[in-house]
Amino acid sequence: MDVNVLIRMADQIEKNMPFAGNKAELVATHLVKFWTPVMRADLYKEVTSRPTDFSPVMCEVVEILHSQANAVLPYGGLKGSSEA
Amino acid sequence: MTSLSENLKYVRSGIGEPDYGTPASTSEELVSVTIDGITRQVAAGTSVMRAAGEQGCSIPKLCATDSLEPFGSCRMCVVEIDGRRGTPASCTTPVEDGMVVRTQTAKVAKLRRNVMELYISDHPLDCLTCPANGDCELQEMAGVVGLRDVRYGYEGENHLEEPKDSSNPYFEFDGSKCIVCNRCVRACDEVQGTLALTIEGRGFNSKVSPGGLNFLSSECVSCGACVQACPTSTLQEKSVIELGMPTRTVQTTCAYCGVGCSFNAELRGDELIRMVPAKNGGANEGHSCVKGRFAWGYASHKDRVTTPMIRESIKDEWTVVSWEEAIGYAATKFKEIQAKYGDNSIGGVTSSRCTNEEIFVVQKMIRAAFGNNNVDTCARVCHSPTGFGLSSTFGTSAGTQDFKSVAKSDAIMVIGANPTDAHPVFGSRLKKRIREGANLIVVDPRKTDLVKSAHIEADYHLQLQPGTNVAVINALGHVVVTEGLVDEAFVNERCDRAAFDRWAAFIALPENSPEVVEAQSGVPAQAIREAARLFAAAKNGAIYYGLGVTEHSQGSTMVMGMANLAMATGNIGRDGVGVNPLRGQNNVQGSCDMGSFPHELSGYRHISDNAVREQFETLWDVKLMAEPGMRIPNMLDNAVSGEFRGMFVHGEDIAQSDPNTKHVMHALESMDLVVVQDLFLNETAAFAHVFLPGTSFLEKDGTFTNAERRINRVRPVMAAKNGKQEWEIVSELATAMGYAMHYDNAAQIMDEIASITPTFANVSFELLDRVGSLQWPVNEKAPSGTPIMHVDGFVRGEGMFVETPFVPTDERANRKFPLLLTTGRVLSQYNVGAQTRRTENSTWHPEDILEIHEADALMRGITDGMKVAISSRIGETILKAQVSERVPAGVVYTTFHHPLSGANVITTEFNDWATNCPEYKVTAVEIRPADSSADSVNTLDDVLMKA
Ligand code: SF4
Ligand code: SF4
Ligand code: SF4
Ligand code: FES
Repeated sequence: MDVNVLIRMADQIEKNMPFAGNKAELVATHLVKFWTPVMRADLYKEVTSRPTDFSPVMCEVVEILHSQANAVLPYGGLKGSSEA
Repeated sequence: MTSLSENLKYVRSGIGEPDYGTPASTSEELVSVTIDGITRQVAAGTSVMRAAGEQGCSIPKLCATDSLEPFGSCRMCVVEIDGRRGTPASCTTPVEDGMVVRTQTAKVAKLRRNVMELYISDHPLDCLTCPANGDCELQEMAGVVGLRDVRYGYEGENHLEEPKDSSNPYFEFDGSKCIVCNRCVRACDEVQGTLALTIEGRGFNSKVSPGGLNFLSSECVSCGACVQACPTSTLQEKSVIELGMPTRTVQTTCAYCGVGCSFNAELRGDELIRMVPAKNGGANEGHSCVKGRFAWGYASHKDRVTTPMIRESIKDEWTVVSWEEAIGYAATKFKEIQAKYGDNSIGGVTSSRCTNEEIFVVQKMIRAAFGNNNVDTCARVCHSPTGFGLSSTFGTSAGTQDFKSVAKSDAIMVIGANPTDAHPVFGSRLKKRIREGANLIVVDPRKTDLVKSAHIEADYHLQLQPGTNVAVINALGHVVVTEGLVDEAFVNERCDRAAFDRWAAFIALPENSPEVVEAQSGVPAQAIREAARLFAAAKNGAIYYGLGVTEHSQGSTMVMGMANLAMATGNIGRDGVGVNPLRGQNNVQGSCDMGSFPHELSGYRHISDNAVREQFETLWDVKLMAEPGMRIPNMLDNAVSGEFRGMFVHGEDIAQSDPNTKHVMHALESMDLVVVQDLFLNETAAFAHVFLPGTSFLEKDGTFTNAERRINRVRPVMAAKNGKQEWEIVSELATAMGYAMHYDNAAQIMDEIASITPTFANVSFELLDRVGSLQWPVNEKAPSGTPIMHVDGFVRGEGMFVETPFVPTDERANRKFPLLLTTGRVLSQYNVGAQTRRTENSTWHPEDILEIHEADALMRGITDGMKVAISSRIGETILKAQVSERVPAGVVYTTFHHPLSGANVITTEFNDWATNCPEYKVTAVEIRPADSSADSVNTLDDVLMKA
């Protein structure tokens, strides 16, 4: 998948994330909940290959993703996981 | 004594439902009344006519029907009441405690006969050849009152030469048969709320008039309410005139919008004659719109494909093959792709037009037979932010109320929705409440009919710039918080207080004040302040919203913003309040409930939840992937980059309905295998290698779930034209791929859903057939369902306030594209028009129109009716312009019902931050008069031709 699309989506999530808490954790949780592992891995590769082009939050996000590849983190008090 | 049903048979003849003459009373007080010697307790406010009918003593009537308030004009229903002078009309006389009524005395019998005699003297005596023969209340009442002769003869002055009005494509008006009972006029006023009809003239010269030249050119929206109310054949369905009176009925559910109206499909033999809205339908209570009532002819349209077809390449012609061959071909190809490119290289899309059972089976096939979670639903492109937003704040992915609830609302806020066009039967309920005096706030860039139409005027129209919803909802919240209008008791008792305090501090920031938001949104600060005060002060404030909320870059944020406002004003958990999505397609709610999102199983449980996943694994005897799969846009992006190679598209036309058509087409043509299951060779089928013919809603057996979470039965009215139910086809495909799937009938699928989905635990076809419909959750705690959610507490525990900063979309008007395009629907057409365009509904909307403000038109030399080229940074298409006051300067508006105009040729790749729901509602465009020769390129057809 075009990595630019992934970057645009991730940036948008970071910019809009409304929940209270650690932003990097919240974004990482969102990606774990809604992105495929391949998309997350591609984002990790891209961000870590040129970290200076990304926000500190995004750099932290991919590190969290990398360290907790399959964990679902608590999500701003959100219990459901739905989007319909 | 004859039984109740036998007696009522003569009150409403034919195969219709019983008619008690006047509406049921809602009073809880009981009074004692004696009718024809029988003493009963009856709800206060009940008419004598209804009380009599309920105990089996039907009183003759003509001007009364139980969908309308009593009128008292025909005098057919007179009775005698002890202690009262004269013979009062039973329809307009409410019961009183101790009242003694006699319905069948010699005196009233004579009066009724005399009245009938007058009617019949001015009525054609062609009963035997009349289309309504057997379903005419006049004919029946003449028999009931024992009329044997007309003393005045038939030669006097009469109306027998009145002309017919056949202008409406679906029904005819034959004035010669009219008895001027006023039922049609009242139905149009009271039930539909269009007020298209009047009684013109006085006395003998009175007659029904649609205003204007005829029905078609009048305000009439062809809902059919008047036709249904008419006791004679004056207003009659053309299908009945042509084919004869139906003889049997099957109750089913409309397959158009998310209102989910129940209909009695009335047949003669195996031929469908008409669809009549069911009075016992929970969502519609006897009303309908032009789509459900009349636009069902597409099911037998000549374009329908009923045999499976395959082809090696999309450049080849189709070859008709057997089911076995088509399914075998698809299965082999899917498996080959997976062998070559990996398990994740294929996936599928479920359809919100299909039944819960079909959807459940498709997602099961993908998870179990494809072995991945690459399943998504077309709800992705409409209401995905609703689930995200409402589950984050309330804990459930669904609206909070039943439709009835609006009758108890005092202030109604309609945001980004146009219910009179897109959800017409709910629109009628809402208009009724407004006419009764409730306040209305409309938040919309466009002046919809709710802003101002017959007897309706919004108190406030917050006419915001497209893309600024969040700013406006924040400003409304700001006023509530800073002016001390918060319902503190509700917040303290029901919500997470710390979250509220955080939100309150955020929302009180000056950046959220109406004065700052005025500059962003164009809505005067004063109007925002007054609207907020009005909403907060109302005893019951309700929010209804549509795709004008969700289809934005900040759709999910906006849903949470509305939830914040509802909680802050204490408007959750009882009748008349709530946050209510008006779902687009018939089964958007169901497609989401059934686990067709890539990250969750039925009942909104995340795929990574081991306990839940293991239940499915045990039940299905298969190992499931524990990670979310791809969403539709991910699949399409991956198709372009070559990693995603095969797709099963169930009942959706993604080539037409998804944004950025060129990109979608590129993705589709990049795949090795596209399997389309549909009624017609739609735009997506142009890229398909396998076409599996589907069933229309008239052939399906299953359930739909409407926007109020109401599970309605869909019953087969006729045999499947393709020879198979869709769940059967999908099961066969799964089996051919190596995962054995088999069901004997749709009821078994629902049983499986119920066994594994807590919110559906008690649902079964047997129960649905018994009680009519059920609103989920239906389980041990709520065996009869849940009309209103969050009554004693939020599903998630405490209501969660979420801060909702306004992050404007990146799609901005600029010098090259200075106008903002927003999109919507019209009443007569539905979605991409595949069904409605194949009916007479196109009479009203033969093509998509671009609405443009006079100033913008003038500046560009555009006049009404001119063809214009509309371009965005993505593409260009041609539309006919309509200079209109509905849109403000700087905003243009169009619908997306016709493939020729291909509105999605120009919509962009931007989408909701949380759910990827496309931003259909904001596209920067420029418009110029079209040079017909050069500018006919790039419409959807052209893109298709070139593909
Ligand atoms: S069809 Fe509906 S809108 Fe038209 S006149 Fe009859 S009731 Fe009114
Ligand atoms: S058209 Fe039918 S409903 Fe209307 S006044 Fe005439 S008879 Fe009554
Ligand atoms: S389209 Fe909607 S409102 Fe119209 S009849 Fe069907 S379900 Fe009802
Ligand atoms: S039915 Fe009562 S007056 Fe007509």
